[in-house]
Amino acid sequence: MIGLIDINTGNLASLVSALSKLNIKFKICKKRHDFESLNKFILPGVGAYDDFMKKLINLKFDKIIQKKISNNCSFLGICVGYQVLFNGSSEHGMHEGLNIIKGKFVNFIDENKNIKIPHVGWNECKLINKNELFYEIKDNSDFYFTHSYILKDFDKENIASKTNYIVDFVSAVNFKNVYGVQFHPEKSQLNGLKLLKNFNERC
Amino acid sequence: MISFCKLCIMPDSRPRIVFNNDGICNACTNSLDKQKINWEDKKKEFLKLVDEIKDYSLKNNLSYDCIVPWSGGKDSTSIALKLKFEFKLNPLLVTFSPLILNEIGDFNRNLLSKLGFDAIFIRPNQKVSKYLSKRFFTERGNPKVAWDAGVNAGPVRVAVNYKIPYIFYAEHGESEYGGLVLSEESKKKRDLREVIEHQIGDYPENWVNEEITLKDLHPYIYPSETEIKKTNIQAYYFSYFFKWSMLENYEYTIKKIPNFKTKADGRTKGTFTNFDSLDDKIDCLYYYMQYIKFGFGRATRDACRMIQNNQMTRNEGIKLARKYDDEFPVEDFNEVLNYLDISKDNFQEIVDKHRNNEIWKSSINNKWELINSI
Amino acid sequence: MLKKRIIITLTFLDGVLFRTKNFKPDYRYTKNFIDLWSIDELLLIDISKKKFSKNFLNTIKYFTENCFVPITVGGGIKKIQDADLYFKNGADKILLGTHDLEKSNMIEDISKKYGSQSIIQSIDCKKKSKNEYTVMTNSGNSNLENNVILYGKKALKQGAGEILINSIDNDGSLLGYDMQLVNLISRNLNSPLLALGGGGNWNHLLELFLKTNISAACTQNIFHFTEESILSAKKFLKQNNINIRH
Repeated sequence: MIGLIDINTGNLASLVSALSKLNIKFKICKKRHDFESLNKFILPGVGAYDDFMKKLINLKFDKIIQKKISNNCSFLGICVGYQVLFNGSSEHGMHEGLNIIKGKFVNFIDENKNIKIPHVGWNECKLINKNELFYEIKDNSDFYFTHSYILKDFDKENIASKTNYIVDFVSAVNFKNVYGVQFHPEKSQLNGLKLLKNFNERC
Repeated sequence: MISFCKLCIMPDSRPRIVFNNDGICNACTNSLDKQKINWEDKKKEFLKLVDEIKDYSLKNNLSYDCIVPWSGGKDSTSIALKLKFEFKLNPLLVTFSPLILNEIGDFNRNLLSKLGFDAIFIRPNQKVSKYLSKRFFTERGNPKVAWDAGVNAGPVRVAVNYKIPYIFYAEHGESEYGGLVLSEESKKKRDLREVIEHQIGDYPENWVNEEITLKDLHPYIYPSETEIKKTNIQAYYFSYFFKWSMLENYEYTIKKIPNFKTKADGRTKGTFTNFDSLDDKIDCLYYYMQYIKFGFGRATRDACRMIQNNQMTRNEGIKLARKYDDEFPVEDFNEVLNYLDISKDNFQEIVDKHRNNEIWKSSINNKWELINSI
Repeated sequence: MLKKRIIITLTFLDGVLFRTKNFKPDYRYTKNFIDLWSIDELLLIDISKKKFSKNFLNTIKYFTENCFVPITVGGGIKKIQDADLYFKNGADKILLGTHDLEKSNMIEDISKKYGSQSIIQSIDCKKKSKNEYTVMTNSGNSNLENNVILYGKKALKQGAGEILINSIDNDGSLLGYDMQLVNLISRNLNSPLLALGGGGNWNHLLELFLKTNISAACTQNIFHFTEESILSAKKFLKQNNINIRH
């Protein structure tokens, strides 16, 4: 059973549909005690980094997530849910993340001022380090992205895939039992559904 | 909620139809306007055009003065007869073959041929034709989408090839039967936009796939704008110059050609008439699908035309629509299924998939019922 | 490399799928033939008089449950609570109709809560003269302002993520996108751009992608929604070296 962490931002409906379609059992975690018996989680997220972190902290989910991860629970962060796993982001000023994986987020424009943001649409993920999340997913498969911030100052061995949008950037990470994807698997049709299936069965 | 025209009985679900604030459809207002038209003036205008055409033919040494897209039915036949015998033009008739030919069409076309008309009969290859009919019957609930494209493209292609600029179409459907009239000018001269946007709704070039190449689609693709401009194609609607009435066309035709055939057993399935749209065995299905998709059938269609021409009252129309609209197209049904290469079960499945739940509801015993009927 | 997108645009009137011409509904269809697996993205617009009806919300739900590509929903959003409702019912992004940017904080409010990438701002444009366009509001009925580029820039500044160039004149026509309009905007706005209005055949799509730097072509032609049609379009574009998914 996967715990779907719901901090009341954006829409959980797509992820719920995707998991339902895959017949994957899940439980929506709205309160701290919802996390209790579970050991596999997905943290979806849209919106601004600071707003998202604030909500996590207010609900005291930050502590629970950190604890669950250190207890070896499997974790998948999606989009902003992936970004908060790191040290911080420069969105709307410097804001701290959950500090689980090394790295911080900067805007595409900080790397190259001519880049049109947000990066939105289908783009290819080039597999860097083999991992279970991408099991049986063809190299350079398309996934749907929508974001303006990218990872910087990271450890190379944590990269699962990279993508090119004028500049190369990290599109997926894997650090021990923690997985993170910048793209939206629940919105990436067959490739995305396969990835979610992999997370459920192999991670 | 579907509403019906207050004068005729056409529902507002008919594609593109426009109802005014008094709840009257644009076919009816057009019909009322027709009463106010000075048809004498229009005839004078037409005679001028006839002279212009004759001059052109003489100057350019043309054997034919104009093209008449011709099905062999009463409408196009009446036009051909008038152009030749009343106005002394020499029309070249162009037919785009019906999907499933029948005796009546062949017979009637032969009659006109015997009266001295040259005719070109375009028969596209049936492999592609059947494939497209099946595809569009399934996807759009209309087995004649490609045929529509062909019947539009064919005569114009012939006109371009023969370098004949003048084409005479029958009636302007959008204003006569209800639809979107793009401009006043479009009632007189055929607007290509209406062909693509209203009739076919799509470009035949888009139909290229694993099975169909661009070459296969040649009969369905309209000549290019350049070709049309070069030939200076001018396609007129007969209904602009002469008050249009399908009943009168029929009566005219029968007078000139007493042997002109109509439906032997008195009426066509789905309607009360026996003289309209008889040359293709797939037509019953075509009109039945109209009923499925939009909630009105062939009887409604025919009744509206007659109401507008004061040949029937609204109440009479209502009775006939209620009686005949929902008739299943049993005529030649197996032949049609065969042509479309689908099974009876598959057929029913496809038909039901085209029912809009704004128009249909499923009642007890799993039968379908119109939510709003006239 | 980021791929070009084809976005299927569906307009609904009281829960029924309709084609529009110059923003007026004129042809009803059934949604049973829309293929949800070959498409890149979906845009659902409610053109009913009464917005946020159960009919439309159920329609969004239907697509959310069966479609695993991003769904943008628009129609009548005037304040953040309207957007909340659409997001709650399954929208990934929302489409804002052309509105007075001076008088409304809607974009700012929504982007603060959901992020810029969740907002597509539509600029409904009408041709005024040979080279000029005007921004229309109220479903294309009222003139809002005369500078389409300025409008776009203001919307982006307030926090919109993508801009939809919507040609009222070409809506429902199959004669091609308004290339002049698209070029005008794409040369002067630096954000992902979508074009809507006039898409008829695959050459129109090709022209759009070859001659402008548009990110996505929206097509509202109901006959483009079947698997056959979409795959045919994509194959054609791929053969002409356009970077498109599939």
